[in-house]
Amino acid sequence: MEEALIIAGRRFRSRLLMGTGKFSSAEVMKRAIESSGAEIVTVALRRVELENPGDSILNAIDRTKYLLLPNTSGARDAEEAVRLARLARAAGCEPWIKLEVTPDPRYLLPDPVETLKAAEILVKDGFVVLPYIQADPILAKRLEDAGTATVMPLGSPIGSNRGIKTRDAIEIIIEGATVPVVVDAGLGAPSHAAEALEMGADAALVNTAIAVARDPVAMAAAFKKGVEAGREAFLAGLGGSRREAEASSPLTGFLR
Amino acid sequence: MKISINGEDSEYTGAPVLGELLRFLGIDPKQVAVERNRGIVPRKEMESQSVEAGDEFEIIRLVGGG
Repeated sequence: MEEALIIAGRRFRSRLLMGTGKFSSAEVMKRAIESSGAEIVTVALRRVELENPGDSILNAIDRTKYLLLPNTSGARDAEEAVRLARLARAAGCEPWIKLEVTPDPRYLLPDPVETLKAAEILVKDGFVVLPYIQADPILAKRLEDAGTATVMPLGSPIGSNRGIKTRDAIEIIIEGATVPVVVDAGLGAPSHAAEALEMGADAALVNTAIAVARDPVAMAAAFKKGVEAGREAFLAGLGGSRREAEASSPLTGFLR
Repeated sequence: MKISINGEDSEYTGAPVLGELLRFLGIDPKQVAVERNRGIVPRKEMESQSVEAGDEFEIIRLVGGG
C-alpha cells in the first residue's frame, strides 16, 4: 500500500502542511502551494474590512485539490477558539480546525489549559481537531484522550525560523503518540523539516519560512524535498550516533 | 435603522434581510460567515435572516494564515 499520512481516516500523500499567511500576493501563494505538494493548507479568520471587502482567499485556492484547514489564531481563550471554529464551519469549511489559543502576543505560545478545554468542546461538537501545543508529552496524551486527530507540538515560536528547539520533548511525544504528530511552528529551513520527519514526526507544517523567502515558490519546492528526505530517512532507519570514530573502511589487510 | 457591523455603528436603509445587507456592503454572502447578536447564522439562512434595528453583526471571512 502506498505510504500515506492518515488524519481522521483521510489519506494524504504529502507530509507537508502549508500555511497561507504573509505572502506578497495571492498569485505567489497559489504557485507556492502547488510547488510544495501540500494537500492541507491553513487559513485564518478575520473580520471583513468594510471599506475594502476585497477578494476572498477562496478564489485563489482550488478546494477540490486542497483541504482548507482554518485556524483559531487570535483566540486568547477556549471560548474565543470555539467561536472561531464554529464561524469557520459556518463559512463553508469542512469541520476541521487547527486549534490555537495564544494569549501572549510576544511569543505566541499556546495556553495548554484553554487548548485542552476548547479541544474537548470541539471534539464533542463533531470537529476534527488539530491542536497546536507546546512540546509537552503529558498534554499531548491528554489531548489524544480527548479525541483530537493529531497533536502539533511547536519546534520554536511561530514565525521565528529557529528550528527544532524542543527536540527531546518531541521525541517523547512521538514515542507515545497514537495519533499523527505534526511539528508546527519555527521550522525555518528545509533541513529543520527534514529533522522533524527523521525523528519520526508524521508531518510538518510550514508557513513563514516559505512565505518570506526571496523566492517562495522555489522554497516551497525545497521544503517538499526536505520533508520527503526526512521521511525516507526515518523509514530507512538511521544509524545510531557515537562519540568516537568507527572506521568505514576495513581494518585488516593494511600495507605495512 | 441603526445597526452595528464588526463593532462599528452604522445606518442601514436597505431591505431588512441579511443577503441584501451583505450585497449593500459589497460582500458575497457565499464567502463569509456571519454572527447576528452573537449567534451564528446558518448558511441556509444567510439570505433570509432579518435585519432589525439594534442588531449587532460580525462578518468574518477567511484570510491567509498559518
